[in-house]
Amino acid sequence: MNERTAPAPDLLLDVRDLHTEFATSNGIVRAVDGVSWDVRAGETVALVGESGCGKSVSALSIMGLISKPAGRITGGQILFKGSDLLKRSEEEMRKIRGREIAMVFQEPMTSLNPVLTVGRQITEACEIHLGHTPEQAHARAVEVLGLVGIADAERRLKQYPHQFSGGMRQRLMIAIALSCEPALILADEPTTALDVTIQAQILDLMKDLSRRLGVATLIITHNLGVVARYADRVNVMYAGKIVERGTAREIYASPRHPYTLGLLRSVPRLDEPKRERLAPIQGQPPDLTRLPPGCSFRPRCGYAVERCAEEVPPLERVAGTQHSACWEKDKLPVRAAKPEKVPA
Amino acid sequence: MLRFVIHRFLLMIPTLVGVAVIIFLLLRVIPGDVVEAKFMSGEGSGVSAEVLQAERARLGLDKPVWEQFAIWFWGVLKFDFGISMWTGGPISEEIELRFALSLQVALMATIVATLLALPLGIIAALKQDTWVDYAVRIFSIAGLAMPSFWLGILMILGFLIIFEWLPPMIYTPFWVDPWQNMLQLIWPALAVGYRYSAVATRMTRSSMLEVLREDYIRTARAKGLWLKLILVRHALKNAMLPVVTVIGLEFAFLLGGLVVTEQVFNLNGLGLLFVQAISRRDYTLTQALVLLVAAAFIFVNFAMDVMYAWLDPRIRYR
Amino acid sequence: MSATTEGVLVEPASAARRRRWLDLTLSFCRRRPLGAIGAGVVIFMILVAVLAPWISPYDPLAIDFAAMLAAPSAQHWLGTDAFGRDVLSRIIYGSQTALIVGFGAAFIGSTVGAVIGVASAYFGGRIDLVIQRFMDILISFPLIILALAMVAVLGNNLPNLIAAMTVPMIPRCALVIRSSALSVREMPYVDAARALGYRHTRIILRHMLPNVMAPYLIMLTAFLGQAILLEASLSFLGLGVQEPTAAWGLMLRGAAVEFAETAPWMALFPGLAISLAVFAFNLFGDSLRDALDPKLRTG
Repeated sequence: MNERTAPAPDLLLDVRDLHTEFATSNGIVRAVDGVSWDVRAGETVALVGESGCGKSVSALSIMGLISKPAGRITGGQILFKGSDLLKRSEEEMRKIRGREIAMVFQEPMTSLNPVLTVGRQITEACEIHLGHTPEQAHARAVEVLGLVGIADAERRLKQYPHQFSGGMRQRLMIAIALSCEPALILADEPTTALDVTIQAQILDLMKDLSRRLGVATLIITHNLGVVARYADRVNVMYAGKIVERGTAREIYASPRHPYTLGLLRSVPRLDEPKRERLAPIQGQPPDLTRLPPGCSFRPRCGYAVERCAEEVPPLERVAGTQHSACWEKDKLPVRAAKPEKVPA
Repeated sequence: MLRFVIHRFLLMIPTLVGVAVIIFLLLRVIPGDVVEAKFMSGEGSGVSAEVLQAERARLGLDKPVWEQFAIWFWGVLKFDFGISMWTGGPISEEIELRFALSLQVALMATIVATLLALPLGIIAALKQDTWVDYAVRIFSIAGLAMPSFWLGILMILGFLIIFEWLPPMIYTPFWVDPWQNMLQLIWPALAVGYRYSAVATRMTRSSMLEVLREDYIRTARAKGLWLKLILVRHALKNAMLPVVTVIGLEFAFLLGGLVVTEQVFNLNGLGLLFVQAISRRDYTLTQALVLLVAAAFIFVNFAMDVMYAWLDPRIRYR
Repeated sequence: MSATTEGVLVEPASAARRRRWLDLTLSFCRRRPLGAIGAGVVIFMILVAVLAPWISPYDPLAIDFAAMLAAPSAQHWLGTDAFGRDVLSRIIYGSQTALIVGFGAAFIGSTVGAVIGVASAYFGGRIDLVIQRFMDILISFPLIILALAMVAVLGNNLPNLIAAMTVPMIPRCALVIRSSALSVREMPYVDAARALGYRHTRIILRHMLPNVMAPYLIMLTAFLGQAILLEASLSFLGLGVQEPTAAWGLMLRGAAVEFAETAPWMALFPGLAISLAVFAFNLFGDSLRDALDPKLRTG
């Protein structure tokens, strides 16, 4: 892993104190509740957590695709290349979507339009954002299909999504995302719907492309195993808040939040002796309309003390770049095993 | 694609034969027959049994049922529906005369309905749960509730009272005088088309709503496409698939709607003929007309499936 | 399980069930105001039909040549027709005809359709195939054409008219119910009933039919509006209810068009009655469908 020590000015995306709420019939859901994180140019950052913790909503907030009127962004800043996306008009945001920031979704089976050819779906963004002629756009489509490893591009472009397998469709989604050479790709659970073997292929592809093309990637996942292999830095989210952050190595070697610890224990590992059993995190993700006072994770936490029920723990530095939002962060057990091999 | 079309075409045949059998049996298993209806009703009831018998023999009603069916069905295959039991003239001629008129009204009503339904349904979906949506929904539910013949009566009433004018009552073929022809037929087309549009509007709305929630619409938005382009290229084509089916099926059923409306506008079309045939117990004519309607339905159904396949690559490339 | 234990089990539940129905009704009214309005109009119609002898100002059949084609006035609120019969009274009595024929046809049509659909799903195999083919064929006739053909066959006194109108409804209902029943058939309690050696009719009627109640109710309410419209159309054509019975469609026939210019009320009010009734049934049916099964769209 290349230890980036570059100064702050190369921040590509800087999310500051973001709040996104949804009005539901049960009350207001604070899906994203005061979250700050950033992505530097060219690096891969992970946003990790269970479903419903607010990680997808974070991505949609950046894209300006929060469904109105139920959802709205109530506070914070999203600085992209230094200027606040939340202050942009809808038309300005449209010009950024797909051009500067592209998105890859979780469900490759339903995220492509079934009645349009694949070629049409790749070329349209180039035509709109880059003013390509149909010929130029076609050439670009052939090019990106090559990048994502789909052979026989000329023939494939004339086909329809249903003629592609799930993994191939996700490659198509990546091709669409890459078509306008964006600076940042938001990948929302890009491999969850795929077979395990294909998952690795897709992730390797994304990692490789990101490095070759210098595209920054935000990878949203619930799988810390994915994070360890592909991300430079990690933000762990729980109930709309970031509970731990740091480099992948730091988090993996010595998680300093009980939730991260729990997530790691629920991932099988090959590099250590067979453990008695995988330990899933007890309990259910919290109801965001009725969060308990104090730390949201307390009801499921094995290390909770009295203070946890009263005060929300702030996100504080532990060591290096690692931060944790836990009152007991210094008393947590140290993970015995060595960190999993992280590709450099 | 060709294999799909052929397969689908062959599937039509057993249904058509089944329809023919049912229609034939239906009208034979009844008390009383056309001969009695012809001679017994109205003035003379003093007709002797021999005369009735002779008339039955002339119409072939004395033969066994299966033989009657065989003769009739063989004729149908040659587009010869036999002779009308009432007028004595060939049925094909009776139908031919009126077919153009009913078909024209049906086509016009379809156009009216489509022109109303697509914009209304799409707008209602885009403005879901606003007053626009409610207005469209009430307009379409009202269309379903108002009998088209009553709407026709209201139109005539309106013309009479407000303009002291009536649409022409005598049919002019389109190629003779398009203006006169339209002046007469546009009103029944509107009356029927409104009701027909109600079904299509509701379908367009719900289909559009469903499509707008699809993941690929989110993808299209994430690509930074213009809203218009998202609607036209990504949403509409998908949303139209079920709408096309509904419009097609309604077209096939239009003849049913026309049965009543032709009466109001005094149009001498298939509908009027059908009502006359039933009230006169003209079995052969009734049979022919019902068969025609059912065949039209089955054929339009086939055409819709082919069109659906043409629109939807998932079926086309199966 | 014997019949007596079933009875014991059902008894204490009935009070709770009644309360549940009340809750359901209240929440239906709150969440679907349009449906509640529809239901209100339907209830009003039923009241009018039941109370007709007491609320109608005149005998609907009483001919009064002194008051032919009278315009709406204090004596005749909605005017009179070509025979001097009071239009309001005929509309009030017409609601009886509309409801009897409408409910009769819709209830019989959807019930027979449901039984056929469930049986078709239950037996499966060749029986299912034959029934389905037959239903497909029946469906290829437009509602009104098939009803008219049946009228031609059966004649048009009231019971026969209802019977004729059910015929085109049966296949439409059977198809919808069958698809729901297919999943019910896979339920363990159906297997259990079969293992207990119950007769087919008992399994179909007692175990499967109650579990397709939602689509059944949806089809039933959807048919109500259609049936009223169909009866009006048939009567208008002179092939439905016969004179002198008061029926809305019949009131629009003949004289209503002939005298349209001089006596527009004859054409106006019965048509309004039909539209309002069908509108109400459709509103109610739509909301019920949304409430019971948002996925089932009949277009």
